[in-house]
Amino acid sequence: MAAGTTGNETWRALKNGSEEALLKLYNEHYLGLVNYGTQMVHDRELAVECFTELLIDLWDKRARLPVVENVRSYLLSCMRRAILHKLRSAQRRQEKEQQLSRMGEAYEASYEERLQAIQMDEAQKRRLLQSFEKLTPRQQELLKLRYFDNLPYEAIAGKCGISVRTTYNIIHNALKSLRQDLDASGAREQLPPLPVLLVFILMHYLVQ
Amino acid sequence: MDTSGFTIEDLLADASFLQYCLGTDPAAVAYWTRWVEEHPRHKATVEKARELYFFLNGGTTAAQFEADREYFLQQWKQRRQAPEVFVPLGGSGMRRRPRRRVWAAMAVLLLLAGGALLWHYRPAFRNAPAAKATVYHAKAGERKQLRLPDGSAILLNGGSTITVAADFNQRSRNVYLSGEAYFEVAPDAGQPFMVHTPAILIKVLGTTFNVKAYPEDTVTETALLEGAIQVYASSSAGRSGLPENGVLLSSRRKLQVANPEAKAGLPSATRLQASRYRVIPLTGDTALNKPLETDWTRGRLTFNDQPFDIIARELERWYGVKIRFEDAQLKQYRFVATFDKESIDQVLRALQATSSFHYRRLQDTIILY
Repeated sequence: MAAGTTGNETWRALKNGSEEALLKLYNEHYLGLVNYGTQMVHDRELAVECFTELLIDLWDKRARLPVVENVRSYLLSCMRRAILHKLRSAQRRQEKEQQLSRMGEAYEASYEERLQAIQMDEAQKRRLLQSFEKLTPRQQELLKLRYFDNLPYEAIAGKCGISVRTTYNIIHNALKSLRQDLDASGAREQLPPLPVLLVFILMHYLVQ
Repeated sequence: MDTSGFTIEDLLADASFLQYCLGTDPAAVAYWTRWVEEHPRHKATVEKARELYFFLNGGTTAAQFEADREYFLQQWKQRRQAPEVFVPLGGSGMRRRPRRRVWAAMAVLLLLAGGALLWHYRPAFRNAPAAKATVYHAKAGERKQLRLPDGSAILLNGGSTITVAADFNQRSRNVYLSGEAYFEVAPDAGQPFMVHTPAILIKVLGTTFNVKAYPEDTVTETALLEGAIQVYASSSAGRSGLPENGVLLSSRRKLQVANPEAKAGLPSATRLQASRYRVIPLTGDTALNKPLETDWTRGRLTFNDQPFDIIARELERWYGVKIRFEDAQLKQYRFVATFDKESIDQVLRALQATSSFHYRRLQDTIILY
């Protein structure tokens, strides 16, 4: 799980030169940090690029890494710096003028905007978005913290000033209404009921 | 369906289930794979839970994670190998032995890889650029546009030759390139499109990419704009360091290998070692799908901090001239510049504005001094 107490052990192991520890950090923080970067610059490829470079940089400097209390917060600030640096070097090249003027306004895309940009089956996406919009803002926010930012329940509870139990319940209920919504709208598009199907199959064989 | 009361929300509450969906933890993957096998009636629920998770997490699928991780591993590997390359030859005795073993292992691997590739592409070579193959050539100074029988489009840069195999689009799609070309390959999963160059072999199902393989250059490179391509070492070039089963290149990246014939001592040989390949992101405006690597297809000539001798070769191909250096030191000069529709004289005068050199022109030969 991301950013738990085990994070510190992994961090210590990395400082001692463990390759396994770096791989573990990659796996644990990939989703959270790449999504964080994507929200910053609206460019997933660029975010992946920065995350990759950030980890290789950690490896290069492993012996000189500071002792950190919260690995995730440390990596988030590294990621932020890496992305700003990337943008600045792009600026110097003067190749991205247009793009930068857009980025200058630097607004962070909302979770819903991110979801709208996902590349997937359009019909499926529409259904999911419709159900998502019916959730309360609180439910939407917690879903983002759990699944998009990839934070564990404890961290979300701390962030929102609620108990872990409440956090769990809000997310559970949000997922439940998403699921019920999808079941209801999905049922209409599903196959005909079993008896009808059986008749069709029987007829198919009789004709042959 | 959920007669047991086992639901999507229960699955998504479990952190290890999320790790299984994304593939970020081998133990979680092993556990849940077995669990699904043992509980086949929950298979549909698991499938739906996965879909919902891939939506909520911003559209990151297991395949996406796998591809990004592969890219990271490769970059990291290159970084770890880098210091070794620069260790002077008579290094300490402690290090030499293991390294020799590594080289021996690599040699064996490369032999095996070469053999396997030769075996694998046997038919392609037998009826290769033989009898009725079609040859297209773009002279220095011109660019040629082709459309192949399968609907693929090719733009051929100056000083390049492409040979289309006689049996093209019958069971396979093989082309042989010397020089630079920009491909828009029509999708056809049943017939992979293969671009053969002396250094690398590129396997494509359908996407847009650039290949630069001039025999006089030290490096062969392929730049991918979208989708994915698989890059193998060419059977005739054993030293590129590409793995036997190739490298999967993802979008907006390019792969470079040293050319097999490139002499080690060439003045402007890049830092690329003969036995290494590297994958780097495209430069310039990749967001608008207009990276510097394909500027030539838009009629632009771009130099991004390159030495003069490499630039001279580009100018030769672009303008159909010959360029000679009378003063060899000029070859080290570096330029950053973009030209749109300028003549060769305008280009040289623009370059003169930033660095001091002279040139004289004898018809199609330009002498720099």
